[in-house]
Amino acid sequence: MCRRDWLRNGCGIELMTRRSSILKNIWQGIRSLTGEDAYERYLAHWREKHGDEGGVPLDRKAFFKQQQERKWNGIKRCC
Amino acid sequence: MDQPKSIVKLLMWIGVAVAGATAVGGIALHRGETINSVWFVTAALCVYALGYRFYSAFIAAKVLVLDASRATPAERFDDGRDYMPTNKWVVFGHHFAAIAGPGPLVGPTLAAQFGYLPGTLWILIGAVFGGCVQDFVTLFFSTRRNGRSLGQMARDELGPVGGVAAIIGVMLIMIILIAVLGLVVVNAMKHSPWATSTIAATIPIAILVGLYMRNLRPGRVLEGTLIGVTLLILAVAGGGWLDHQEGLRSWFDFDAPQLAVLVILYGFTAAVLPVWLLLAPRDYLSTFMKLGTMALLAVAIVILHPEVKMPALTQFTDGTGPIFGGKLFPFVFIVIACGAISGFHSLISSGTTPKLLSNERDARMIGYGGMMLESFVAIMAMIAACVLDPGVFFAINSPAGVVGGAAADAVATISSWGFPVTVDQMNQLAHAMGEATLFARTGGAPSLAVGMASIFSTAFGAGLLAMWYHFAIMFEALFILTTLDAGTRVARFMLQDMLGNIFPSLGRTSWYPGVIATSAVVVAAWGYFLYMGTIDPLGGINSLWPLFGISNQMLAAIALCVATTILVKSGKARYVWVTALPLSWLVIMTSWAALEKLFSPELRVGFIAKANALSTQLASGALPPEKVAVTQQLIFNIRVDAVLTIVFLVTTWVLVLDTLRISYRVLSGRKHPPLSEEPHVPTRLAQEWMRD
Repeated sequence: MCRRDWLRNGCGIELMTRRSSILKNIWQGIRSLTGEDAYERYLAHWREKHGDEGGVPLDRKAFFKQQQERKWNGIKRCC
Repeated sequence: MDQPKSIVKLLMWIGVAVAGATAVGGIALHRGETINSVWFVTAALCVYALGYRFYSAFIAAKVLVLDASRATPAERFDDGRDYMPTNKWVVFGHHFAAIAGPGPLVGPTLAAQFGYLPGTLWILIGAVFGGCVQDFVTLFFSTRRNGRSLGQMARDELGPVGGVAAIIGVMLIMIILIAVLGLVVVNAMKHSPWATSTIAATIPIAILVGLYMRNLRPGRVLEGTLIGVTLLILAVAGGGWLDHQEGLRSWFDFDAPQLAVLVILYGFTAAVLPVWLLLAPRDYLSTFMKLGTMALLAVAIVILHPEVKMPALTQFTDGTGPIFGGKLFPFVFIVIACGAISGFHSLISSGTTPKLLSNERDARMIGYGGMMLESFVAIMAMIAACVLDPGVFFAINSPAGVVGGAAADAVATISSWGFPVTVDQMNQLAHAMGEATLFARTGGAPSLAVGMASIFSTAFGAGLLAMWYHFAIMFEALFILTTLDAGTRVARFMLQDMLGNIFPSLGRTSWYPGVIATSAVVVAAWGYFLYMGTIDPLGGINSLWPLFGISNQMLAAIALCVATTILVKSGKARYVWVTALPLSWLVIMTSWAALEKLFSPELRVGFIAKANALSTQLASGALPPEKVAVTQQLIFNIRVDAVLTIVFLVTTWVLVLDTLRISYRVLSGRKHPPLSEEPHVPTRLAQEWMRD
């Protein structure tokens, strides 16, 4: 643990990297909350599940278009 | 667990319970001039903490028996899009953004006419024992059924009658909901060039963002949203500038019926345009605004803890209230609607959210917790409405048909109720908010905006009252318009689905003439109620909001019927009260309210009495000729409202009786539709749950 004496033993660096990884996590959270990373997640899924079937994944624009059509095809917003 | 730790925990929870009881007791028994809003926040937080820690834990462990080892639909059908195991906080965010709409802001504001107490108590109790439970169990049952929708679950568990009743319920609630929300926006915009121009500007801004996210930078949602939000704030400021330009302002100065026509035209256009152009980008903007503004309001209320000036109870508990007619019992349970229990949530909790859960155990936090947060939004709306001087609150919200059209008449009537207010005071307030008048802006949005503007301007910069007011109006209008557009589409899909059985080509969602025809039908349906609301001298909200409340509570009853049936079928009859108690309360209160709306002799409550009174007036020839046509329309409209109320009543009772029938068959060992739960498949996801 680096809480105490963090100035010694190079703990400061560890603390800083930990802090930056927290910030990274928050940023990643915001990105997935807003759907900003939807395409990356789709690509990851595609490579894992369909990568060996040949063919190419959708490009960013086509994916985004399809995604929006699907999203608004049901009840998504409430009173 | 070691001994000292558990004692500390116990003491902590006792502390929460004592604080909660003190705060609830404080707001219930307080009879001074004003009461600090800190009591409301404390009461709410303690009640939610206890409800979540104990009641939802009990439901999770004993009633539903959440099973962390079971693979969820998201894991089994992972397609990288609809079905996708997702971090629970992200799902929580999506779920909350979907369920939180204008309802919890409008309902409490209207219910404040009874005083702050009845609404506040029902928001807290109704959420903990009703709304949160409904959302939680629906989410859980749908997760166990591959994310099936409420209508499908009703059909599977209850049979075809239940399924059809649920679909009719959803269609009708959608129509009434859109009409009443449209009316809220219209009342905020009438004769207000600032509000109208700002709201009009949101349309090109959304389109711009839509084009940006589709063509310039595909899928860059955050960038697009940031640009849009900046433009929206500029639009609020621009509206203020426009309001001072004599030539320009008349372009945006409309009366209510004209605005209704504009909203109808807008609704139709928006429904037939592709989603990426208007709906999707505006939804990003409105979600961002909605969450941001609610968080801001929470911070401002906690920092400022303003004094609540509304009395605990007003004399209007006797049913003579100006905003809507009807006694405290049962109408407070109808009017609060979404802040305590909202049937509409069951449509989100089934279908959309269950496809994202990575673990069944998350259903507790997302279902129960999500509704708790929504209920807190309702408490904040209640506070914001009640920090206004009661006289001002009633002046803003009372329709001209009740208190009189001239300012002097209105303040005289309101002051005679014991809520002093002067014409001067109202003029100054209107001037500070950058409006010509604030009288008779029924619907909740303007009074909430005045409340929010006064809270915000104290916290984040005085002197900007008018900006804050129009910011609040814009923010509400923005997501009301999103609901209007999204709701029209949903109703259209359902209509296409139904008609597709008869005319197959109408069922194809890509056949453009079919899209146009069905959109027109849906828009005409809500447009009719919206337009009638604007020509009604009592302001439309008067009859439409209770009708919306009834339909929403009835939908909740449908969801609870399905849940109750499932509990009985899965051998949990012992715990059936968890859903059966809120169900009974809802059915009793809502049926009571529906019967009052139908048969009450009180003209401002009973539809039939009102229609008859108007007919008598018409027949006696006492009306001036220019009013004859309007009165005929009004009579017809009131009769339509009455028929709708009957349909809601019948639909609900069909479901309730069906639930009783199936439960009886299950318990007596007779033949019944089988439980439609999917079999257990062990999860293979990283066992995150092992850690907590």
